[in-house]
Amino acid sequence: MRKRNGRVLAPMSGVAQPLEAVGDEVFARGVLGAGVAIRPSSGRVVSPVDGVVSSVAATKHAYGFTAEDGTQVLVHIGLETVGLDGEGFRALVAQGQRVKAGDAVAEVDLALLEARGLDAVTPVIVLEGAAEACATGRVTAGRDVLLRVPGSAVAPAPEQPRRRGGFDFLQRLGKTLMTVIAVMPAAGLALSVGKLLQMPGIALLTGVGVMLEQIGWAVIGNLHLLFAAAIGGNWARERAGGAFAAVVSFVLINAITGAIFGVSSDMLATEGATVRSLLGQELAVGDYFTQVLGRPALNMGVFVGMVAGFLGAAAYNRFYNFRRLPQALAFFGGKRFVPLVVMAYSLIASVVLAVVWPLVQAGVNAFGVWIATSQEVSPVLAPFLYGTLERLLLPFGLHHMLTIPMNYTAFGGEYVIRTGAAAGTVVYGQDPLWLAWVTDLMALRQAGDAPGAAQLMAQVVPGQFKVGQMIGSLGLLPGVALGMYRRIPRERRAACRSMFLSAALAVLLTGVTEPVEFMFMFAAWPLYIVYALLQGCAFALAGVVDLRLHAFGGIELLSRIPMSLSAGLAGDLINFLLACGAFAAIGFGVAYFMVGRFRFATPGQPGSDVHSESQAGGEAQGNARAERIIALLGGRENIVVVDACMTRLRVTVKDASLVGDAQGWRGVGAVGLIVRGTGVQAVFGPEADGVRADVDDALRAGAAD
Amino acid sequence: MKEFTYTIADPLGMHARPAGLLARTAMGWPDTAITVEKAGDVAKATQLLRLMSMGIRRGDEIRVRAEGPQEEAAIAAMEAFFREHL
Repeated sequence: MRKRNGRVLAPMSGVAQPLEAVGDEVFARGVLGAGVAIRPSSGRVVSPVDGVVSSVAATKHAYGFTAEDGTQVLVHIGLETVGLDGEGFRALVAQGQRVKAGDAVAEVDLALLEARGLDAVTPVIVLEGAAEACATGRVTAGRDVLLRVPGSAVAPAPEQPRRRGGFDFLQRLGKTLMTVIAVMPAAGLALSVGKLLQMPGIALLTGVGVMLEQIGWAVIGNLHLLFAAAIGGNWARERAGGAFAAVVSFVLINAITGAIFGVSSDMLATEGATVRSLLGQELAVGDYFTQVLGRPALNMGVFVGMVAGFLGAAAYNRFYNFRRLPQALAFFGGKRFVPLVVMAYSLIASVVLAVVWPLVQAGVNAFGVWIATSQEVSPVLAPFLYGTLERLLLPFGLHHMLTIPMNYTAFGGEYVIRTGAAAGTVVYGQDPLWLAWVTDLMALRQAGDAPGAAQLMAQVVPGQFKVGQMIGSLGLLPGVALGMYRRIPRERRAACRSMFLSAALAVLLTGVTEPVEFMFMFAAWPLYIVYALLQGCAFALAGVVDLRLHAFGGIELLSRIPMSLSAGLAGDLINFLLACGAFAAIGFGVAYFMVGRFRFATPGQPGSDVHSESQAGGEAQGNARAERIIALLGGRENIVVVDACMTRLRVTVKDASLVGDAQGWRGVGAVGLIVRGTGVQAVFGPEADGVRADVDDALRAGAAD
Repeated sequence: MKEFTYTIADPLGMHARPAGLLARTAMGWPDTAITVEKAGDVAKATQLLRLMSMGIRRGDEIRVRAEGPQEEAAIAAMEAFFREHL
């Protein structure tokens, strides 16, 4: 039905002629609006648009329609026909009835008109707007396009189909996070270049390289804070105020969660330090806590940033105009009251998180341990679960509870070094284990002990919980990035190329996955779930074929190739490259298909805010609609307060009689209208808050003019 | 706010042509909210389709209101319009 937007079909069959030729000044001079007249050959009248019959003249000779995009069309059957007082006309619709273009709306007795000496020529007028005549000569009712309304084809945003609640929220979150995501590829690039510069071992280059690498890590290591500011700013009714409140909340939650447990910085540095949770459970400080802004805090990854962002925005939206303080405290009224609320909110949130989070962490941790210990029994299923869960837990910052035991503790494997000076030493965790294992293999082979090397290779299988991630960052994820990129309309690709290229380079060279992952984690969460499952498959592959490699990113892999080869792992390397190629192809196919099929708002797509042009377009769209909503509310002077709840735009107006009717509101996307006294509620669904923000912006812009 | 009441004299009532002219006239005062009321049913004078759907006939008493910075001029123009066309 959207395809008809902006098009007015012929309401009657006959011959189309210019409006200027109509023998009635008011129509001919376009006083009512632009249009075309039809000299009808049949008395059947159909609706020219999809929409609502907004007016049926008492004398049944004129019909008004409001199309779904808000366009108003008047069909006036014959000239001076009002004088017939309904004689010769039969209305088939009632005022307020919904119609589709082509639905019969009336019948007129053309013979009667002729007998009375009345002109049957029927002006079809688009009210209050420009319209382009696009038909002359014979037209068929309900089939030929009579008029085109410029602009209205874009107004209803056909490129952004309305989506269900949860999807709307996540899409909006994804868009909000674009602020942060746009900086990540740059950070990834700094990281890659920094690492490359350090490779030759030249002092000057190494210095610059270290600095560049730190630039990258500073962004990627502080994603939680960046998320807080981005969400707070984008979700609040005023950006600066919301971002400020969110950062306050971020600082507080981190400080409070650290303080609740009595964790000190010394304890973080001490191996084996423990504290008791509020429920008496023993927590290893190193696993459960981390340093945030110089203070120990519960380790919640990016999740704490999201919590703080929403908390700050919610506090701002609720209390920015709070004026009910006693006179003595009036200084703290309005926006200054927000930080006080943020403190209270943050305290509550911290206590809740302090109780809940360690439980969740412990659960995930236990699962990680279970997976690690069951790798012997199920060499395929355990890595699969590990790989999938690790990716799914990433948005909640819980993935480290899985990876820490695996990478650095005995759960990731124990290995007794067999050769060299360190023989007899026990190493724990995947990476140390692999290095020790490879060193032993090399030593055995150099000593000519081929059977010993073969035996060692058969006994120990390292890298099961790592190589999947390498396939992900060297194959699957670059494939997904390419798939998303190829779905960007050709004319917009150039603008997005550098972003995708640097994000892909970062993951290829350094193994830092976030720049690519956050591009689609929220904006296209179903794709992210499929990606997590594929990532699990990549992990499981290690249980099927020999992939005994361990590295973090392409640079480290390259540096480890010589020792892998001399340890006799050439076959593993070939398997690995094949696996990367296969997963790159799968990743590309899946991303290309899903982004195209479900029209996800990944970067560069219509509806994503990452590209300046599309952003301007989006804003213009929001503005145009906001202006129409303001007009429906009776104009700027009539609006007292604009607010929104989850699904409704709530406005207090001076004079409710100036508020447009439900049909008009449908034209701007509202599904219902409730007017009580001076209170107006328009039901928009989950986008209500976004609508509110647009209207607020438009009102502020108008006030500034 | 300024207002006046008027009894429709035109035998055809508020049909498309006068409604269109009225809407066009009312648009001349974009800052001023002009409304037409018939028996509690209120429409903005700029909304042609609403005006037509009110079914204003000969003998109906309507009330026209104007509110805004130019309400004096607007109400005078409205009164003149109704006397001339309706």
